[in-house]
Amino acid sequence: MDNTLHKRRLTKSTLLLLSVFVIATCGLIYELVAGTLASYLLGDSITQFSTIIGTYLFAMGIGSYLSRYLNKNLIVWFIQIELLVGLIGGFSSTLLFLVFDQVVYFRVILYAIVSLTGMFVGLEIPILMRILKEEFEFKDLVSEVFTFDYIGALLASLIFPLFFVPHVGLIRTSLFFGIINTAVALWVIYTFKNQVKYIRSLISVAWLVFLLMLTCFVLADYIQQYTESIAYHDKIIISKSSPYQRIVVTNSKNELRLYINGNLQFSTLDEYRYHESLVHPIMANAIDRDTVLIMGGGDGMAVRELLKYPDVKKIILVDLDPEMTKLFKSHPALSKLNNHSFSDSRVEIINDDAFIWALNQKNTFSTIIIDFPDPSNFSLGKLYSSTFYNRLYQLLKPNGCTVIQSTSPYFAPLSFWCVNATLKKSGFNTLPYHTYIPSFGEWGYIIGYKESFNQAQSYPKDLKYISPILFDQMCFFSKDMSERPVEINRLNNQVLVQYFDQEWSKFVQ
Amino acid sequence: MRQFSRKKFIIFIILGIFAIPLVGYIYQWIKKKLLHVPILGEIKSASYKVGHLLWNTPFKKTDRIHEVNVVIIGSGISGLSAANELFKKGESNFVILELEPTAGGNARNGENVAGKYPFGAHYLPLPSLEMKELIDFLKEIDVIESFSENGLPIYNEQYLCAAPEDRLYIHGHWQSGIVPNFGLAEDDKKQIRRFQSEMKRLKHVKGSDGLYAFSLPLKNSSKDKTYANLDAISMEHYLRKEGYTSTYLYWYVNYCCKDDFGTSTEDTSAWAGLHYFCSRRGVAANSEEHDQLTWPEGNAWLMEKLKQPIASNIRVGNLAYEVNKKGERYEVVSLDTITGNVEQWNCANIIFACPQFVIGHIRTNIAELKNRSYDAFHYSSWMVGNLLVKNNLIEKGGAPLSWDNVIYNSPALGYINSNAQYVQRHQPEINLTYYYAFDEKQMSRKKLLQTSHAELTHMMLNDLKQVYSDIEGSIIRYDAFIWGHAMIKPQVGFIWGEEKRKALTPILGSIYFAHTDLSGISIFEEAFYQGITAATAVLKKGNASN
Ligand SMILES: Cc1cc2nc3c(=O)[nH]c(=O)nc-3n(C[C@H](O)[C@H](O)[C@H](O)COP(=O)(O)OP(=O)(O)OC[C@H]3O[C@@H](n4cnc5c(N)ncnc54)[C@H](O)[C@@H]3O)c2cc1C
Repeated sequence: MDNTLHKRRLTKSTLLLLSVFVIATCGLIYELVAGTLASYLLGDSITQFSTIIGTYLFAMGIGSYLSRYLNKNLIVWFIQIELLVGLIGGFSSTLLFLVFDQVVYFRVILYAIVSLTGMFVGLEIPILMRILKEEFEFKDLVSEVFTFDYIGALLASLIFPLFFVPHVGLIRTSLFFGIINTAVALWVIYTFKNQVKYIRSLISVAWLVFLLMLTCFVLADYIQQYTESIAYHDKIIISKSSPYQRIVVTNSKNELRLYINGNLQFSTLDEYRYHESLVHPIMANAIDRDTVLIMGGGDGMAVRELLKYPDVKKIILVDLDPEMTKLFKSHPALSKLNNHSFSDSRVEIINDDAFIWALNQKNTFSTIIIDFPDPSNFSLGKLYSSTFYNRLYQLLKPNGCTVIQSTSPYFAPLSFWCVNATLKKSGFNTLPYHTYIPSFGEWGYIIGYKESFNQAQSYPKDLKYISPILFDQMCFFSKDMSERPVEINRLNNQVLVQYFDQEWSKFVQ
Repeated sequence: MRQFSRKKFIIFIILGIFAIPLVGYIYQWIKKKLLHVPILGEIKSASYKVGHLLWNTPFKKTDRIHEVNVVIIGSGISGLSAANELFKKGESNFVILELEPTAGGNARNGENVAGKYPFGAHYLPLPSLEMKELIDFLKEIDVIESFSENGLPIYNEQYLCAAPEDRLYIHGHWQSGIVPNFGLAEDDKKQIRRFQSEMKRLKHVKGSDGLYAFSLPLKNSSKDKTYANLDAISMEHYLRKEGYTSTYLYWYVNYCCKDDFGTSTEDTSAWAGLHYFCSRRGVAANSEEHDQLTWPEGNAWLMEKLKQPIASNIRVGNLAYEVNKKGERYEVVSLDTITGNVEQWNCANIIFACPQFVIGHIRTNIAELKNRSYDAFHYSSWMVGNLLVKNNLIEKGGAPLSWDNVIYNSPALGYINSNAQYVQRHQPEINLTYYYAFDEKQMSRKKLLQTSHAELTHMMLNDLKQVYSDIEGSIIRYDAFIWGHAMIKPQVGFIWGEEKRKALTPILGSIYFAHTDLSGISIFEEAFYQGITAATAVLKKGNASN
């Protein structure tokens, strides 16, 4: 046999074997990506991984079966299938991210992707064996093809968790393997140029797919951001990451919503309910309204309510995040919401850590409004601790009152009553109350005072929600929200964070 | 052709097998050589080297002569506590000589952008109510705010160890609490429970002399042979004798011995090992029983409180290197390690509040001092590394970052989140303080002191990568403090042995010794009481002669 001919054939068969290896690696990677994403979204990783692997293997069987119906132009089929595997697999994670918030579609698309890749990989191996059957003796052929197949699987299962998930991220991982897949297909095309029909169209399709994936690979960060943004349903009008938190404002037909780290803070449809209930019960009847202290509340809504009292001379607002207060001071749409309250000369904004500020503060106040985020982690739990409330007690004048937003007594009764018990432990007399806010559900507040608290007989005129009669009702707790025995929340036990976590995990998926 | 292809095929496979690690290696190499910036930081250590150099230089005459009543050598917790006691009882005519540029000894600290962090000692368990002097001190400095109706201390909660307190990385998972539990077989759990209930029993058991079997200060423990004889066997021996077989239990007890003394269970006397579990009967109105007091800077916080009233009596950067008797009085000679000035302190009493191995080097004309034996005093060496990291580490599953974080079967002792006590919500950087007690067999003191920063960093990284695979990207700097003679080893027979007793005995009725190595157990409480005992003896003598 002519030596050069011999050589060329050999490179061709080696190349085809190499592509088995690549297909096997890529195929398994796509399954792992699918399994990982499914476990993120649907939980229960054992079920997700076993059903996905099962489906994948079964689909491979279908593919193998179908291969008998392909008889002509085997090499063209081989290339086309390789391109398809690359295309579907490469975009699988992007696609899955896009339907991430739609659980029903997610399942359909997930299993469709898994079945298709499984089927194509299943088709590919028999076809390849038939292409190569002239070059090898049968026993060698079977052994070589499957060896490459299995080595590819091993490689995939090792590099995926060790390198790709931690260093590359899911979107880029699948695109990367899609690109490799296509690159090998291109190589095969150019090598078999002379044997292949429709060569022009194959080449252009392959390059198109290749470039498309390369572009997406480069722009993966934007894709990630976009897929995140559609989780909010509505149009995002502001999205800012400060060193402290991620602030997102969405806009739909008739409302604006503010999210911090993905948690809803208010909806313009009903935020007045929340803020009127927070501010007016202790303000309307306050003995001395000269100076008011607010901790948290960087959206300025509580300040807006405070400015309804003409005798307020000074409002000090302590909020951690300058980005947040700046936004609500100068963004036209947002500052309109709080009635430009941050531009009022009576308002002083201090961007500082509330705990540290409180520890260093020398003045005392007769009204203190506390509107911190819910105690969902240990660093926030500290702001609901007995140590913080002891300090709060010292900051409050003897005839003063404070009010604390205290999460939901319906969804999280232990948490709510834990705040109450901790306030009492720090010396406060307390008056818990709650009200219904459509976008939050049943919500709770606690008034803390030293000497006495008298309910107001009247409220400022221009309120939409609260009234003396309503406040009476707010103070009544039905049995499903009633007081229960709880521990005190201390820095050294942080029970509140544990209560909160247990209680809300029942309601949030 | 077939033959050729098979051969080629095999070669291909073999190449492939080599290629995978090779590619990985090249990737690592590129990352290390081209992208890798070495981790910043420095090594600090105690200045005993200064001592080694100077102990050989002869005595220089000086005309800087001071007259005082008492000279205290060493400003660790023992020395400061002695000074406080003197001061409180009206004796302020004393000086503390301290070789290091700052006071505090093992209870010193560092500080960086993330906040303060300890160089050594980092916590104090809640003291038992019998420890009246310590309780009083804690009350004085407002660590104890008041007492409840039933007499239990109410602690300032900012100083109680913040939740979550501790966790253990075991079987690929962070469990909360460091007593192994996650993934253990029932028999292991049973043995651990048996051990715990036995420790609980021994905690409250008393000897024939009516004293608790295990107490703090240690000298108040029962002398009853039933318990004291446990000093004659090792902790390892004790566990075997009691029929324990669980490897998890052995790991746990070994971890505790290393964490407290720097010694393994084989190298720790059973009495000392049990003392760790059974001597703390601390209670509080607002905390769990076995809670601890801690600060970002560790025990340096307490040290500052001890230092405050007597700060003006401390001469830092002064090595005491010669002690002579002249008539009824003593001449202590010190050398300023920076200016090179020599000063002489004439005094009636000396309190040696420095480690015994140092005293062995001090030049003296006093035979009794020269003849003291130090053969039984052995020390473990430690590294306390402070890892300043961006607060973006990716945690493995299970319990969240806690104050104390321990890795099962790691050669080191885990790491403390020194920022846990800070109440700030937003902490962009944090200090993880990494503790490592060295086994003399694996790393001799000499070798440790010669180890480079890069090697120490590598050691730490190898260990912590088990729990943070991506840690390098978050590290800002790593500073390591090397303690060559960190802690006395409570080896078999040492605590209740003759050598230690002799070393504690005052000389000539006016030279006293106060240091944790004379307790056999290196902890704050012992240092605190060592100081008080020495000062009380000085004061008593003064009163008697008046
Ligand atoms: C790494 C590490 C971690 C620890 N963790 C804890 C812990 O968490 N909790 C706890 O309770 N204990 C802990 N300890 C034990 C700690 O040693 C004791 O709590 C206590 O601080 C010891 O005080 P000391 O005064 O007895 O000794 P040292 O602290 O050793 O003080 C001796 C002082 O004498 C000085 N000195 C020595 N020679 C001379 C000389 N010739 N002239 C002048 N000055 C001299 C030294 O510089 C030093 O300042 C730890 C110790 C180490 C090393």
